[in-house]
Amino acid sequence: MTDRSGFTDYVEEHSDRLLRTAYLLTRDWGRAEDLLQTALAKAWIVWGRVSDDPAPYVYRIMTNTHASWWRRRWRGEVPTAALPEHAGPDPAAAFDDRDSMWTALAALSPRQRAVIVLHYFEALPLTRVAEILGCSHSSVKTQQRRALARLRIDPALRALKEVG
Amino acid sequence: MTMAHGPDELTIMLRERTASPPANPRRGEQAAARGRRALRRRRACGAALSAGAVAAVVALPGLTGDGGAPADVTPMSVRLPPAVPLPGTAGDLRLPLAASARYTHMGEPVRLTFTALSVDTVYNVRCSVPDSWLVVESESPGRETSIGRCGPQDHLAQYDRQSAGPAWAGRAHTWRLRVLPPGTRVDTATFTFGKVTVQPGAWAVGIYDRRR
Repeated sequence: MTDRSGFTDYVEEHSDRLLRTAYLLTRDWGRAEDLLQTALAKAWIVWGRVSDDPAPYVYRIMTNTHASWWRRRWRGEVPTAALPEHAGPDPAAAFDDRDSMWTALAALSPRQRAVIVLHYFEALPLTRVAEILGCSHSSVKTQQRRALARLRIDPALRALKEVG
Repeated sequence: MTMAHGPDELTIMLRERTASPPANPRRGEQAAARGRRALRRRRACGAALSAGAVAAVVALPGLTGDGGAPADVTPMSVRLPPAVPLPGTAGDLRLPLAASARYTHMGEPVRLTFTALSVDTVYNVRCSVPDSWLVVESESPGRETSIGRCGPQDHLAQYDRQSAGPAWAGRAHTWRLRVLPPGTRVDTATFTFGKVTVQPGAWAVGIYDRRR
């Protein structure tokens, strides 16, 4: 008999965060709830095996399930060909830029989106992301590089700001 | 094009977009219930197979595909379009429509056979009823069942070399598709669903492809 005594506590403690991750994958709160419950239901079944560290398992199920639901899916929210560029640090422009990023995020493949969400939202190191996605570190880095290019993100900008 | 943002802005954007998640105090209970149902089905399936039975795990009305509506058709009061149009091209590659079919009712399974011309095949399902469920099953071995919501936005997806695999292009494929009414109880963990009623609800499926 599998001991599932810690399952409810785990869900209570972590599921808000997991729901946010699911939302970033699906872009719809209803679908995010479906996706999260799918992952949690599968985790419940094998709780005896994964209860020590359920997070990687839950992330893996969420990313794989999302990819199998939608594969490379567009939802009519394709980024514009020319994204707005701004010369100065206009606060309003920052919101526009984030809107553009959000729109561009929708056009990423499920794999690229998973890398972005797990690394930049969940703050997981790329080695951990690779374990979750079941691929090599170099493959994750390739996905990350392509995704950042599509999101118009320059990884060097943070370093420059920190130095400055 | 000049790179405009740093990774910090990306993280800020992701946090902002998820600032207000809807609460669900019963999530743990609901997920456990799904898990229990999945486990029961798995055990029932295992028992049936070990007894040598050849039987469908889930029996649904309307599976014969004879087009006959069951007696418990629920009339809908909203006015629905009689048919759903499909765009002539799809995807970044602007692939032309290679095969299509249109239906007026949800709940009935349909079969669609087409020949994939490339590994870039796009499929688009348009549903007139918002939040319908779409279930796509392939009769080709090794291909996963896909399940998700359809309508009011298109359910649009594209294969690529990796997801298509070597046995895709140049071969005929048969899919079984079901568009289910929004209220159908669906278990996305096990790709199973409850009682399905046939209802009016136009939908269309298009395969977009081009020989390389």
